Amino acid sequence: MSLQDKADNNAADLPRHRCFVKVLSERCRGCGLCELVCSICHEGEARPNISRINVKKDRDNYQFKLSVCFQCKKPECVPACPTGAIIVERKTGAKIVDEELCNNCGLCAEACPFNADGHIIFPHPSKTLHVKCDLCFFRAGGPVCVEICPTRALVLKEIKGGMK
Amino acid sequence: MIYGWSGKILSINLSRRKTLHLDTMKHAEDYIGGRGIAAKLAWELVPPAIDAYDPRNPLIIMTGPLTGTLAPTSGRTIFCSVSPRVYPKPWYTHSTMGGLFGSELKYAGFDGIVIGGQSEEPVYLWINNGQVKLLSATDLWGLTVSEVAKKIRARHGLDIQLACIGPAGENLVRFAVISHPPENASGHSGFGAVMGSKKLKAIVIKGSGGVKIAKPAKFVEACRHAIEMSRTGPVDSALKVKLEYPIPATIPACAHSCSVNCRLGRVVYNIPRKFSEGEPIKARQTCCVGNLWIQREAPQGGYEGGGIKVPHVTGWEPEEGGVELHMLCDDLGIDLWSLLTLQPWFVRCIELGLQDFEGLKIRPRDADWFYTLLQSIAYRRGLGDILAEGMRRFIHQIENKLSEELIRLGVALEFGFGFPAHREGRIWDSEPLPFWVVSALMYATESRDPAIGTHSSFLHLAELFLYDRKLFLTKLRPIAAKLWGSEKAIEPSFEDKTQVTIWCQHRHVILDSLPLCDFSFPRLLKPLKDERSWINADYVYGDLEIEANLLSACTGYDISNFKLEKNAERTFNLERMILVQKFNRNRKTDEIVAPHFKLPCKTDGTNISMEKFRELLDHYYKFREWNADTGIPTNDKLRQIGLEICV
Repeated sequence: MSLQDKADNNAADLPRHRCFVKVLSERCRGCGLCELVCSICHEGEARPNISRINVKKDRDNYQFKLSVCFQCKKPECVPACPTGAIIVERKTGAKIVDEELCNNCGLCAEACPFNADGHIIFPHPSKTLHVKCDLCFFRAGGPVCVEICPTRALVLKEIKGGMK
Repeated sequence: MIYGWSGKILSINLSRRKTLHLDTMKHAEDYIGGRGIAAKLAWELVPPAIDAYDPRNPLIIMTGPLTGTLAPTSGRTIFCSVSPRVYPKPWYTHSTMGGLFGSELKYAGFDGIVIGGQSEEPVYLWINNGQVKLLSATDLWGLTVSEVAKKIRARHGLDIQLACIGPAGENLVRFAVISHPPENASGHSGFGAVMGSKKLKAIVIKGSGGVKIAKPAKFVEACRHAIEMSRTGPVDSALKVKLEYPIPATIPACAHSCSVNCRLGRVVYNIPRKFSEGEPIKARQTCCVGNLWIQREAPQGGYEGGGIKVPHVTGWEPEEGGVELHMLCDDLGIDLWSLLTLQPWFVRCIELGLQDFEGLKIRPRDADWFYTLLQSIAYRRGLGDILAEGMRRFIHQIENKLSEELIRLGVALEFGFGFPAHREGRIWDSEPLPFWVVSALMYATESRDPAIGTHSSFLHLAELFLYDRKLFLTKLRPIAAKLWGSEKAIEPSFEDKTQVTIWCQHRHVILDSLPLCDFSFPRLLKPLKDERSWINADYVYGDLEIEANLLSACTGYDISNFKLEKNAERTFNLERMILVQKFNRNRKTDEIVAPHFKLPCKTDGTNISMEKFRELLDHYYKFREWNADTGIPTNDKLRQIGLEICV
């Protein structure tokens, strides 16, 4: 079964709109639970630097900056991929990297206009592929980071008709 | 495959500049991590009757299997060593902190660091993902904590984690902290001075690894449950839940992976500077963490009884320099609590007509005067040089110049082997019976002030008791019967308090071994929404399996709460044996704290005579199976809990 079929079959039980994780950085307390739960759910390891969501923690100034993929309506990463490894999940519009197809070239990471810090799409530190937020398409409940955030700094946002 | 733990502890000798790796797993099953494994290492490494500044004194820095994981509040670090603060002679104790240091250490591949020896030149330790280097700190020596942080970050990048000492640690101030800037510190135990004696200015860590989880789905579920159960913050709780649920404000988490928005600070605002030039200060009003010290005139402030008086101290408003005083303590690396003992003592000096010390005029209500005094302590100048020895040693040195009341006040403020009074129903907090009795027994049988690890297990319940005594007793009696075998354990009396005490001590060891924060765990009571739900609830018992479930899912070991408490008993007894065999701790030492509890309790006026205190101890020793005359664990007991090494 292709990833596209798998994604369509298992897709998060969400409405057919463009979805993305909206970040409200002003609510963030820098606890890092989102990074930890993301890495555990995706990799079985609590490891912030393979988390698909990133918290930049400036504890001196009490400022925390969250970054995660916007799941753009017209994504730059998808056409940039020479192997067609980034597929669009049909229900939520999540842009998912197909591990089988990704050749780790990094063109997607370069193409993404929001990836200056390298936190949106980035090379996996121990595998030969790039990773990015997939809205936890394999979970019926949707993105696990949204569920765990104790201050509701992460919200699952739907744009109606965003898929058209 | 090892889950939870990294599997190795870095051991470094600063004299020989040699490193080696110790196997964590050798101790993991019996001692879990943190304080447990540290005790096992200390048993092997600490020579008898050693001084805190002896090069052979190891500074043991530990994390636990949960550090760096999703487990709420687990991002903590545990420090253990022989403490220079302990009065009259240093002995082995512990101190913990939050922040991100412990997590980073795990991500760099280590469960802990054992630092022995003494460097000739100032050095700092640079741990970069398993690569360990000792680098010269000549250019850092003498710098304040914030200056060190700035230099280190410029050198090694912004995403490192740092623990360091300020001038107070370098100058062996007995209450110097190990700072983890900007706002966490291992405070009371004076381990900053141990680092100073080793000429170790800082430990800098960069880690990009992770902590492997044995059963990810189960672990996430266990964490979600723990987060849900602790969402109401500290159970001091019952009352605050009623008043403040849900908690709206967001403040920075004081430890990695802390889900709890506890009320240790909340307001961020700009404060103009009084003592220095520069941008306004961003600070938050806080109690234990953060960088603003102001103790407003609270109902629990001040104390009078038993021939001593602790004057109200109010601290200073931000615009008076209160924030900068707090920041100065952070920068110099001084335990902030020293302000809480120094200020009332000096205020009382003035009230009793003592206006100056050897020509130095006392102005303790004046922020400027304190600003200078703190510096003179950190740099050991003039009067500061004696004060740097801690209140008890200071009093001892100058007692021929003091009235009896001032001597007694000084002793009362730091009565617990040189550690400050805290949650013992008298000086700072107002725990009535039965709470202060449990606190008293803990003070008598531990190595430092005990309240640091028992807020949620028992002492914070005092707030609910004071709020509604009848509601408290009705709801807590069934829990007391279940957990401590007697409904009387929770009654305002002296009966059956041993069981509560021992349980609290074991829960404290569990928290410091996993580790978790004692402001959130154990969840003795379930989170209830408001006062009505408290009244209507049949049974308010929380969930004490949370810790064991987190540990089991994280490590893959099958560990029940029962086994965890047994482990804690082993660690507690091992710590006792370290004190007994290496530092001559015995029943007589335990009884040193008894006179403090002759002072009447601030809330209900109750107290205890020496004779009655001895009876409490008899009961405690009997329950512990310690020798009644000596206070030393019996050989049978030691064998029974797997401590043949101590027999």
